[in-house]
Amino acid sequence: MKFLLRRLGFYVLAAWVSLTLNFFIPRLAPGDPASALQATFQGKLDPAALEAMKSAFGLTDEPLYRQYFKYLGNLFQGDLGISIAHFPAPVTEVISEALLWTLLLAGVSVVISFSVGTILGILSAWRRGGWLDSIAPASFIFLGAFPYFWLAMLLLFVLGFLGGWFPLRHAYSDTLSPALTLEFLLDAIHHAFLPALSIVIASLGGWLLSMRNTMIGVISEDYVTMAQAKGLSSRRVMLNYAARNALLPNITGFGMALGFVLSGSLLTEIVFSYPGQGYLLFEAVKSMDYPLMQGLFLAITVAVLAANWFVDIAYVFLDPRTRR
Amino acid sequence: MTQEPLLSVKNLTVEYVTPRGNVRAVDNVSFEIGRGEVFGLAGESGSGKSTAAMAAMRLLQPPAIITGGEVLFEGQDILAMTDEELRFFRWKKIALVFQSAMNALNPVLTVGEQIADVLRTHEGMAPAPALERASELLQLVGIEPSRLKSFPHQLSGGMRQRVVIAIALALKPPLLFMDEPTTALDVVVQKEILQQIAELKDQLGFSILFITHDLSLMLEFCDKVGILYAGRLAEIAPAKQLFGDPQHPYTRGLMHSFPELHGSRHRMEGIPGSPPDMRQPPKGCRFHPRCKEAGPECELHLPRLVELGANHYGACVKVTPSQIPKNPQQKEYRS
Repeated sequence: MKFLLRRLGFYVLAAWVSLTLNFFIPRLAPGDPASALQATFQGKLDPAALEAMKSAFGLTDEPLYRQYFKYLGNLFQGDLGISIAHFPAPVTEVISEALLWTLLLAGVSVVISFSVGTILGILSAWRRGGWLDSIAPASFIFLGAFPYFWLAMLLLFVLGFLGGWFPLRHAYSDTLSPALTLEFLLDAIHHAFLPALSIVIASLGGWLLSMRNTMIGVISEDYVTMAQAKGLSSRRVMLNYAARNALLPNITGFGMALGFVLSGSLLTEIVFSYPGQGYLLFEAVKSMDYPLMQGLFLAITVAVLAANWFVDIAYVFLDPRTRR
Repeated sequence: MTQEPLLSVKNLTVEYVTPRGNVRAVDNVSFEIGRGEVFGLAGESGSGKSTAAMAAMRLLQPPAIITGGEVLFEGQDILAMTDEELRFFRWKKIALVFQSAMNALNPVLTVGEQIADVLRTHEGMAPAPALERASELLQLVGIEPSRLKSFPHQLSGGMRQRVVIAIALALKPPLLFMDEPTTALDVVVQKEILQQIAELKDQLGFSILFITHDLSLMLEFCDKVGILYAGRLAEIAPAKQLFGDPQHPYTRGLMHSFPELHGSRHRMEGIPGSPPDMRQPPKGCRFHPRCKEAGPECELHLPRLVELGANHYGACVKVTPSQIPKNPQQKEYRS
């Protein structure tokens, strides 16, 4: 418990550091939103209106440190400013919509990919050289080796366009509006299926192979041999003795992957025209939408740190050696 | 003494499959272990002693495969059992104490769980009574029952080894394989543990197959000893007989390689050279390239184990029953 609190303290510190960097880095980059704004209106804006807009966006000529404290203050009130590209929508609103879809698509795909990959890895290693072990790792590595966008487009073309079994774009049908109804949920799942499938196919091989390889190392440990000598059921030896230990390093990888879910899967979202975080970030960078960029980075940072803390918690449960 | 032995290993042969051909790690090894007897298997690293024991319990992992022989336990061939028969046989009849207790315990399960799962699997006990028995077993090896909830990393090396012994005794097996059970421990703890094993043996009456490279331990602990060299038995005899009157040049070499705590001071000689490359074992006797007494005839044939005296067998062409001198002081080996 003490261990977890100490880790939490560390993550709070890390969050503050990244918030600070998050504030300063864009301001050190060449170009600024005010001139970008001016350029958008090509000088057709009268100076008073420009000033008004600048102050609405929080663009002032105040010294950086004062801006910085104001930024921190606003942050704690959940105010991330107003998006420039999506004016006048507040950043929180823009992000939260994309966040939902990203969580649904990338989150679910990562969980599926990790679980299925890990289970296949366990079984492949357990019957090393068996039929599963000869087929699964090789074929998933083969699939994963394709350029991702090509694989995604192939899926979209064959299953979506030629087959017509899946919709070609967006997160839900234009005829529906978001609501918690069965019809809408099924529709959203139908839309997410192809992009999710593409992510799972592309990433499953990595999980499978890393689990298989750690598992093979663990199988040659004395405690696994001893478990076999004890005459325990093959299932118990495989799960409680071998897989339980082999899983530990993979949990770290899983936490990292979960953390990066929020940064979205840019290529997936572009190929399937899916309204997620990655696409949003891409747009924000293109339009120099500082508030939105900062908001997105903040969300990603918090997600990565939260995922790390989640891994710490998981480790405390899975590995008694980390308990104090 | 015509009683059927508890375990009888006959012509056991184990090979490692390698791309460059098979390597014989255990070659036609035969020995018997009687009830209540402690049989020691000694030899240098790589001589095949652990491999032979693992083969007898069918615990070898590929690329090691058993290519011949029989392992009879109370007349039943372990090598011929079905997987299911084997699973119920293991631990119930033969339990194993591993070389290094550091690695023999699962780091993520408590000590209690690791004892209880044997009881639950073999005796079908419910979780609570199984833990109850587990705490009795811990007490048997001198560990407080409160340690049931401990994880292996929370115990010292000696305690871990005791836990491993407690697990081995869980089903009161008639035979224990102990593969260098005290090698990883310091001498004091080593002594304590061996003492405990000896006491438990008197109390429970199990037999032991004791594997070690430490000859002084052997002498202290074993009734009968087999010396392995390059996968073959060089000599096999009752412990006192073997140490008092070693016949095989290799056995004698081994004895001169250890210091004696008591008795007269003498030079430690060691054995020149190193064990052979098992991919290309030497022709004839495997030991002849390192043997001080080797002659041209040693390169001709693999020597067979021949009876040299009462229960004393040796595999050396230079030693025949007629040549055993009555007085070891006057040994003469020139032909």
